[in-house]
Amino acid sequence: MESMNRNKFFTTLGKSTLLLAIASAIPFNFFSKLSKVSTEKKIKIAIHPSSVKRNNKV
Amino acid sequence: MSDSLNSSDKKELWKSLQDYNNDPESLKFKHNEFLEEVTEKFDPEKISGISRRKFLALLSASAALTATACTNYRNKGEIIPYNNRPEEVFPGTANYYASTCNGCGQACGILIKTREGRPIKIDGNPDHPINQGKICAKGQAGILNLYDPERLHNPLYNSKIVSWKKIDDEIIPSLNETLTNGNEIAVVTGLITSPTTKKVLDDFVVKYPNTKIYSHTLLNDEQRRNAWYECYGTYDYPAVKFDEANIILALDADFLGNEGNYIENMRKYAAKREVVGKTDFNRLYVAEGRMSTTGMMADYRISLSPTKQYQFVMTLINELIKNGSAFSLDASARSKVEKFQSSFLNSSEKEKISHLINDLNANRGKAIIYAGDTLPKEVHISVNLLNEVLGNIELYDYSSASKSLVKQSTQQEVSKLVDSMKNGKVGVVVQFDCNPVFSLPEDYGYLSALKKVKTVISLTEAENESSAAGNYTLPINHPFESWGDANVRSGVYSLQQPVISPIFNTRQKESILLTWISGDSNSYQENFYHQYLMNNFNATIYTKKNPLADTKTFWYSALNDGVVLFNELSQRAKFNLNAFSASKEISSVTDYTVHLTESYFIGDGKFSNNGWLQETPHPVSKVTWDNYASISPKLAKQLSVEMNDVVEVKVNGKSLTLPVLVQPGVDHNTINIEFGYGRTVVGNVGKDIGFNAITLMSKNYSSSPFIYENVSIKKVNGTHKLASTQEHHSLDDTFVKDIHRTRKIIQEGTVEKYKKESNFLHEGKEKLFSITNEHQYTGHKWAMAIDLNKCTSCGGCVTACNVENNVPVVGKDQVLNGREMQWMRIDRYYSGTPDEPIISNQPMLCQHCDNAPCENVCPVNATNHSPDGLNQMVYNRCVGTRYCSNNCPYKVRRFNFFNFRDHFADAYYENDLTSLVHNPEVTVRSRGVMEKCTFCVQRIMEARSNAIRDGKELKGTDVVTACQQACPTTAITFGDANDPDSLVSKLREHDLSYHVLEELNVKPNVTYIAKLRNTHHSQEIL
Amino acid sequence: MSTVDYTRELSVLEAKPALRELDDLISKPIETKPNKKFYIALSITLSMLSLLVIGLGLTFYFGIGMWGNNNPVGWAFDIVNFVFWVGIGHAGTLISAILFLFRQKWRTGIARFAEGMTIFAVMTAGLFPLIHLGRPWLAGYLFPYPSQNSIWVNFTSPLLWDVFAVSTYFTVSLIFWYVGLVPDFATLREKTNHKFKKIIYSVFSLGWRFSNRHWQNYEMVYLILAGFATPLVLSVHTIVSFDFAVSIIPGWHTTIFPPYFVAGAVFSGFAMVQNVLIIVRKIFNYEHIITLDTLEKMNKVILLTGSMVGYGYAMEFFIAWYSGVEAEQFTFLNRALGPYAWAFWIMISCNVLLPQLFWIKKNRRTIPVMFAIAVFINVGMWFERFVIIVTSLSRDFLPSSWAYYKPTLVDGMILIGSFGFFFTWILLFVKALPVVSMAEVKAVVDGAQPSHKEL
Repeated sequence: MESMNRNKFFTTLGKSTLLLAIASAIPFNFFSKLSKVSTEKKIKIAIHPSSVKRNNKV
Repeated sequence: MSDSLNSSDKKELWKSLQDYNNDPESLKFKHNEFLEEVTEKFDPEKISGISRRKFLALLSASAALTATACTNYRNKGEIIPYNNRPEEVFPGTANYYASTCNGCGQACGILIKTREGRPIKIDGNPDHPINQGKICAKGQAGILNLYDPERLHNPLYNSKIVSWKKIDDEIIPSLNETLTNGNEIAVVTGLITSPTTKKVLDDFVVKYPNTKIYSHTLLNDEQRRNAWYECYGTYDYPAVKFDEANIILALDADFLGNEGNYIENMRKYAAKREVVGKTDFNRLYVAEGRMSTTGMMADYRISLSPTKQYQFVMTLINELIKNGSAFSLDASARSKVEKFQSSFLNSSEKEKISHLINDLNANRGKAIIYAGDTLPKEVHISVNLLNEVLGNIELYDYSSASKSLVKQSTQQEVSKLVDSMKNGKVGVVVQFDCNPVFSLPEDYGYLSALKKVKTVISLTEAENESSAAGNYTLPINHPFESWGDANVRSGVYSLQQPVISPIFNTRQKESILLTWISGDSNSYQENFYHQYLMNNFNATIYTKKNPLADTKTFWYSALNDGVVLFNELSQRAKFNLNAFSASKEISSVTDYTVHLTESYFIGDGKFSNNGWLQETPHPVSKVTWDNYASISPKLAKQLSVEMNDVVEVKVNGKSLTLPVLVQPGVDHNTINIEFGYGRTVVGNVGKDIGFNAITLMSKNYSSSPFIYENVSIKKVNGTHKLASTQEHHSLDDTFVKDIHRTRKIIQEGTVEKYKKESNFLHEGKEKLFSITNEHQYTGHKWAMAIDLNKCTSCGGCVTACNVENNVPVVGKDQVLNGREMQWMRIDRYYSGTPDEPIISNQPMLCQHCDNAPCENVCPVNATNHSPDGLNQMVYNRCVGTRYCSNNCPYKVRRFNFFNFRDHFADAYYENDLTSLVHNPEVTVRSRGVMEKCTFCVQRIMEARSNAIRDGKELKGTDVVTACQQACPTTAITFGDANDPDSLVSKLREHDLSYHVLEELNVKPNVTYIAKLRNTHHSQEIL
Repeated sequence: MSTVDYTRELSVLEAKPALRELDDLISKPIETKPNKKFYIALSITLSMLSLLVIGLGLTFYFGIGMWGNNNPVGWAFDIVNFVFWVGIGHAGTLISAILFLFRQKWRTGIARFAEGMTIFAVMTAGLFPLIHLGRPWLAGYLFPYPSQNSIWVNFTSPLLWDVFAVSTYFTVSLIFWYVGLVPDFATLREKTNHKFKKIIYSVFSLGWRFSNRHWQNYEMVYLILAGFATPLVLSVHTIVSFDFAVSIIPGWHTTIFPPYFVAGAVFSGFAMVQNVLIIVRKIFNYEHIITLDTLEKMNKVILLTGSMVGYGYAMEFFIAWYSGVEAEQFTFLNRALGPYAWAFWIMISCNVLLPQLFWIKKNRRTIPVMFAIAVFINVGMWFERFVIIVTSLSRDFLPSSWAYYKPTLVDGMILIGSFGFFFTWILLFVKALPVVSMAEVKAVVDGAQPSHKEL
């Protein structure tokens, strides 16, 4: 009967939505980073250990 | 249905007549629930196994899963609070460190503001007695050099990266080798301002006795120093008490713009341009061949070629000794002077000169004549005599003399060096943080001689022309990563400390030398120079001051303050008249002269790669990203050139092709060109920018290395568009002439008029009324007042605003399109005639109007008014219709036509390093968003939260905007207009106060104080 | 004694065609496949449209910086084009609504087409407020939606009034046009044998059965919608003019703008309609439906509104002088003598001088002459908006912020592309829908209305 087709249609729709929702949580971003070679060293900022801060307000 | 029903029984419920009559058909129907064939396709096997219950459970489960799957996959990193916070770090609040600026040779004291370990803003150190809390535009914007991605990261040998150890292991033997060969080690430096660096150099000479130190700076004051030496026996000349001078005569001396410590000069000059309280104005006479910022401030300006300055001074001496002299002249001096009559000055200037002479006579001992650094030694000697004659030496401040630590090498010394290099007598050349290939005139032949030297070592922050010609390029720390000190003024010793660990693999330049001095490459330590500096400090300063505290405490307190003061009074010497009598006479020329001067924002070229400084408009011409030949309208007409046309300037066989800028007021025979441009080995920002004025210099100059005669100039084909932020109209164009006066944008007066009638500006003014109920501002109402008497158009406010508010650099092509993004600008208007223009400057920023026309027309409410009087801009709501900018009569709003972060020069500023310069308190705007001055709302909020934290009331004086903080003359006042005691509310009520475009009734909150020219008349000369 | 009887009404249609003939003639383009000429025309407009697409693509990707806009000229081609296209739309509504209310039967030949042009012109115009935004993906902020931040739009801003005005105009015009189309869809439904077309026409004709009741309802709705659309002709361009009149910039801040703009809109709209109609009547042989009399009447309207526009120009200058406001006086002198004087004089010659040729009857009734004049009028009207917007912005109050504006290639692409967009829609319209209203035209054929007068 037609209702079987309707049934089938909606179950397919629901299953694919579920699949998409789960798939969107996969961290593709993370996986691509593994294959990428890190080009430049990250710039490290550190306060100079011997600098003397001004303690009175400007 | 019961079969036992009697067919004759009466029924109570029936569906049809057949039913009622118990028709057999209807009975059959009752057995089957469905009609025939209806259920044929029904197959229980095919029914889905999911029950309704199960279906609903699945639905809710998948919804829950989907919700959890909606995570933000764009990982922006984590913010983890400190478990054990380092003592000096408060995330969210700034730290301040006292240090010394290295932008020029004046070594002003600065405070470096850091956030989370990175420097983000530079301001003056209030404890430093010379600059007193103010710093110039170069100091402000110089911070971008720290974050220049094109800085050198690693040491290079012939452009290949090598390790420091390898470098030291190669160089130390090379240095020793020269000892055995008997060759020279030439150490070429720039200007040395640090006594400890000098000591390192001396130690180097001790270790390698065949070393000769050469010092060469393009922008030097040798003419003045040599003159002073001949006149007074010392190279250290005193400061000038401009704040006590009633009359100032500046001869091609841009003391308010570019010469000496102009921050100090500006402050002192402005002390006698005060309109609040007693008006005791000084009078400034300027005689110059170009148009400088000092010339713009002049009360009387005389257009005079630099070659005629000598005669001018001698004429003045001649005139003034007629009324007596505080210094007795002998016969030879008198006869020298008496040759000069005032005949050569044309009649149009006669009135000004007679005023000048009368004023100088009337103010003997309370005036000063000041000659510019570029003028020849002979002019300086004559000026010194003139000041002696008038008794103006009272205004010399010997307690604060300008010291010379390492004398500049003379022309002979440099020539000898080049010869030695050519003959192979020089084994090693060390270019110590300088750029002699660029800054030495080409006819020295330095570059070709350099190629003959086996080992050329360049210690530099970034690749330049000199390092490109050498083989070892050693990267040095940026000043903010370096230790240092400075003693350029007597009695003032200032310290420089690093605030950030070296970002790249660089070393302190003195530490490099110290390693070579020790002879052992392993001796290098990170704090090598730190120790050395401390030791020298203890040996010299500590011993001199002899305080009660121990050395360590004293050292820390000195670093905290940034400056140590002590008495160092120079000896007042007697003027040596022989110097004057023996000095060469300079005859004036009638043909063209070239005058080469320092640029305002690029220095000697060290800031070429700094986008902020390249884009800061020139104070007079408003041109960015270029230099040009500045010539008078008359000369331009003779040559048939207009702005953007190209000319060729030839002097002594050297030629330079560059565009023309027609500058009213410039001497007709003088061609003015500024230094610092035309660099070839520089980063992407400065590449191919401008034209190298040094091309025209020669090692053999007649009077001054900056002034050349026998110049020919002619028009050549081609145009070079100059990116100016203001349109240039000829002063003869009556259609657009003086609109700024008729529209009362600029209102000025004279001191005489103000003395007679203090209310002259407001007379006849109608009171504007409003037809609606105006909003009442209880509580704070932020307002600003700008005193146009004090504004010299130095550009400090503009650059401070750029740094504070993360204003992007847009590049020359966008400035040509009128899209510069600076929130604050200084407008420059001309009145008068092309030969004698009157120039008015006006800083223009968002006026934060009470009846803001921009607020009504924004369709999305992205701009509105705060209850404390600010016009607010909500960046995230702005959709960019640009109606607000159209409706703003002041045109202070700036639109992000592109994403300027990545638009400039192939996303130059989109790198990990440069983005660190941003102030974290201010949003970085995206494309399509409108922005404008916010009265530094981030500072207001910070002050407010501090007041809340301290449990105090927020006062108007607690807030200091970036522009106000930067202005060296304190022309900008900011505060609470609702506080009757505040300076800003007093200025709002001042007799000279006015608003721009007041008649529009937009009620701006920036009040301007009208400029008074101190001429002898009541009427302005227009 | 004159032999001309002025009391007799001129026939709207010439040559007294039979009713069935009219149906066939008007539905012929719809029933036939497009010929080579159509495809050539379509390819031209599509290539112009592709320029628009490329221009917009570059603008969306890189930013408004791709245009010539700068500080101080924040609006240039974008808003000039917007006002230009909105103005063109006004002719259609005037013809179909206002002339309907005035019972001017000569409108029947052109009303459908003109109203269609209005809708396409408004669609084209509607592109510009969206694309001129710095951040067009946030265009939703322009609409008053209830937000968590309790922030509504700024109802005092003329740009927002534009949003309401233009969307209202589009909606009402579309509904009005559609209602007029219903009997024609029914006619087409009856005529066609094609299965797919029959379904489409059936759906769109809403079950029209030509019954009396249907006609009665139809006429009432049509009348109401005409009454609804009439004030829009005046109000929409008035609101567009408020974009300028409500600001404080000299050259913009003047109360003459609402009537001046509306007159200008009708002026340029009629010129564009006249141009396109001349082409249409030639191609489809509608010369006896869209008669020379109709065109002459349109030219008279053009002459009238053109003179009103000219009067507006003169008034602006007079008031600028009379007011004594220096900034205002300078702005107008600057228009005539400053760096954009070339644009100003194009505007004056095209808008004020050329239409005066229509005083001569021969010019009004000669097709090539009137076509050429109408083209120049559109050029002139485009330049009028350019002069108003760009000259006023480029030199306003503070001389320090004056700058010259120059359009870029992308600006030109978008301008040409907007014409491509407009004409593509017209070409599609011509092949899909009846360009003349069959029902209305049949109603004004001689003898269609029963009367007791002698013929």
